[in-house]
Amino acid sequence: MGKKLRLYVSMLLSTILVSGCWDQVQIEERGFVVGVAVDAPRNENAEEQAEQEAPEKPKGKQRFLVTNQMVIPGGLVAGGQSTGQNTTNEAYLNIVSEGDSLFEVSREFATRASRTPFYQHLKIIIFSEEIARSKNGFGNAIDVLLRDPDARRSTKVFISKGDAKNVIEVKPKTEKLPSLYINSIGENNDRTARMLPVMRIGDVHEQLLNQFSFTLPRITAEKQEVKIAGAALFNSDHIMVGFLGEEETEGLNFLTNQIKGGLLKAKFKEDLGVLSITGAKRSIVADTRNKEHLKFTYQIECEGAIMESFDQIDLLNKQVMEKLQLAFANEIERLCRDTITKVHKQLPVDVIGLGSHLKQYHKDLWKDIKNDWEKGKRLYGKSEIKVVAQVYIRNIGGINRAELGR
Amino acid sequence: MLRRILAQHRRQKASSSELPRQEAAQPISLSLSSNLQENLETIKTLLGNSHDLLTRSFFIGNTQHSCAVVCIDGLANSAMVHEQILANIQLMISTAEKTVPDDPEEILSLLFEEVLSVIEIKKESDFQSMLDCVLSGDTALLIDGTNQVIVIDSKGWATRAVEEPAAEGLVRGPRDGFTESIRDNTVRIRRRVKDYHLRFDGSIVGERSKTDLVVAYIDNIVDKELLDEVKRRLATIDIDEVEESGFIEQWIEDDFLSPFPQIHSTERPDKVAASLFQGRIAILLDGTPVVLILPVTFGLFLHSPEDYYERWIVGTLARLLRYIASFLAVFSPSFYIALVTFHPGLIPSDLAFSIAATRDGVPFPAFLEAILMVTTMELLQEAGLRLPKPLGQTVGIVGGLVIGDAAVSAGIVSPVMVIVVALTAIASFAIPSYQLAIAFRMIRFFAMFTAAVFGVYGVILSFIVIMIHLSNLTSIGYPYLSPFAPQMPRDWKDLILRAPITFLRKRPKALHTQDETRMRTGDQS
Repeated sequence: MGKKLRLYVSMLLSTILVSGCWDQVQIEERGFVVGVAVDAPRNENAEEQAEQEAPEKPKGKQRFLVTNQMVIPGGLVAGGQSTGQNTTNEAYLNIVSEGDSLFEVSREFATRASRTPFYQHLKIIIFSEEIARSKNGFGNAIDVLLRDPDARRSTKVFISKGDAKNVIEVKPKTEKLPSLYINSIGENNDRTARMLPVMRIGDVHEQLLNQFSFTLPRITAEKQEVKIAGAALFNSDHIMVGFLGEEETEGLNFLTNQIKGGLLKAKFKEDLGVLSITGAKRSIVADTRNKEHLKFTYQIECEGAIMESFDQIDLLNKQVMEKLQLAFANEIERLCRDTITKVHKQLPVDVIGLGSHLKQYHKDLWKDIKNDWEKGKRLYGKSEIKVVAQVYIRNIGGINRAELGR
Repeated sequence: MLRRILAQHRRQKASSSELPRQEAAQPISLSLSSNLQENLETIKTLLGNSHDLLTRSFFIGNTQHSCAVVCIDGLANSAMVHEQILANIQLMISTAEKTVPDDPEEILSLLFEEVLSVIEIKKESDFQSMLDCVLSGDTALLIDGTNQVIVIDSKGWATRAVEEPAAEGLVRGPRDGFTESIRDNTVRIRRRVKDYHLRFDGSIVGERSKTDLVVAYIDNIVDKELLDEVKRRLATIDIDEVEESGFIEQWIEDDFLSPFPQIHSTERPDKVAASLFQGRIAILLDGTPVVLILPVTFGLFLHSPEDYYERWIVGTLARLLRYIASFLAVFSPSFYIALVTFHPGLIPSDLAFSIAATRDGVPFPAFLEAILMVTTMELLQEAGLRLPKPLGQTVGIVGGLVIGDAAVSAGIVSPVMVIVVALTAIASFAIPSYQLAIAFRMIRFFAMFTAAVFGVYGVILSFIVIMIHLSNLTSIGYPYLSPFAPQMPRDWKDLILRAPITFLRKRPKALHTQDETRMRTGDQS
């Protein structure tokens, strides 16, 4: 019995002493990284220096300039209590480093920050336009963020116009942490149609794994604020080919059935009418008789409520209403046409979901033309796209008109 | 080592008495003589001329036949002794114009049959049985010339009034509680159970204390095997003194190494009555207001009589809350430790940052911090328990202000830890059974330790260990976790959910009652 007891005790002790506590780090010793910005380096000093030190070192094709935004929790406490070692009362610290591997860079931070970087609370990743446009940039940069088991698949991804570093270094007035500020803006797409729905890194991974072109939300930095509007277009090789403007993004949202809210302006008679969108639905009808000349019709149905009516018209009149609905429908068609001109004619990238529509509803045809869609014979560019919109005004608001008509 | 202790324990249980006993504990095999003076002398010698021993010799009526009463001052109701015994014998015989016979035996039967108007009266002829009665409050009447003695029930001592049990208060429900007197307690039960099948099986435990013990059950409901087992276990009790029902509980419980209580104790008569109707057994002990109920299940400790008195929705919600409370009481400090030291990714970002901010500058790791605070809370609780009421408030103030506030401002602990400890304390107070709350307090430290070593994985491991233990545990041979395991879906109606009264048509299945049905009429459910 004594032997058995000794065995049990040693088993118990070894499980505790050998395996226990291996990843124990007190919460205040972790460096919570909430935002990462990936840029291409501005100058080649660092690269040259590395070259001189170790010419034999394996090198990547693309070098990255990575900015990690780390939280200083002490700075978040209201009034900045004197508990921490924080002296500047800032809630974050941006650490910048350069290298050809993102993981290398993140480990490099450990040599400079007292707290070990911890990526489980990573909220946003911003890639600069330059990285997204480079041949090996985007896919390579995102690899570690997807591969690392510590990273979350819910991190939001944005493409910045200009340097990503400038975006993450913005000093917002409303929030203490720029990354959380950007994170919250990204969720406002139910208020505006000009913003793409957020893309989480898991969704991006999904796009990278299939053969379609895709879009990512665009972010632009100003001094004290950022703006998330517009979209970055990626072709099926996952290289960014261009941006969509704000209105074009609105059209894109209508075409891809991603409208959650927003507004429509239309000119009716002499002045503007403004519609708040409460919901929109699109369906695609494909005419597949001629493979070489496919015809698509987008049918968009949109519901909304009148928010502003500057022309003093009688909204309770049925004919007026029908004309107004038509005006809004025309506006939708215009927005969509503008978008289609850009993504269909100028830069043929199928971000409006036609390829996936064919894949889902015309499987045999799709198998046939899969390799000739965006590349090869470029059937996508040769196809014909029409948009038909229908608007239903459900609500005219609390009043009929603000003043009597002139 | 563990096994040795267990074996020893079993041996103690099995063999009733092989150990040599002191002589004093052995019964006096001494019969009464027919000489009154001699008998009185013997009594005085046996009791060591005790200070509270009362003897009074007198003549019967107007004759010269002498007799004597013997009783214990305070135990016997002196008014009753005066009126029913002394007055009757001295006066009534003469006023009733009875002729007193000469033969002492005939005097004895005259007194026994006609003069003494007392309901409980008997004859004894040896010192042991006489003294047993006298020492429990009866009065002995010795008559010169006979070797028999009349023992008259005259029990009447100062008892505590019936009060509401402090530890088991209810908002709605009866306000009476058990007292230290076993007679009062059987009365409290009998008042609620007028079924003539109610049985009070009396016995005496304790070689020297000779404490009355009553096993209460309802004869045509209770499982006979259970009853036999309880009686068998009670028969093995071999101990000099039994001060409290805890002695009985610890002697007959199944597993003395388990932190969980396997026998329920209560001071509420309504709870005991309800348990009897369910087919359980109650054990009452003289000298304590705490009555044992057995067998029990884990769920029973989280039930309160009020669950049944209030409407079923309220009862169900209250029970749900208590199950959550018991989980919090055990695991909230360990979850804090695990999340803060191992998995900050599981905390919502804003909360994680603010915890990190408040822990900035705290010198201890979360585990030490938690141990420190939880131990302090235990100390406060223990200190408050023993102190007289006016001082108890001081403990509250010192504990609340000094430990809570000052420790945070001094930077020894983080405010979040204070919240966690407060939550733990409140959750453990929400558990209706103090016995179970103590068990949870012990397990809490175990869970904290595993959390400190293995993180959330450790918390789950400790939960599994506790569950394995609980499902192995029995109460008088009945599965402790029923009706969870073994599964008895029929009884789930009265577990976390307290179904409407009309749905509770059957008694608990686990109890193997002779009569399972509580409601016979009507098929509406």
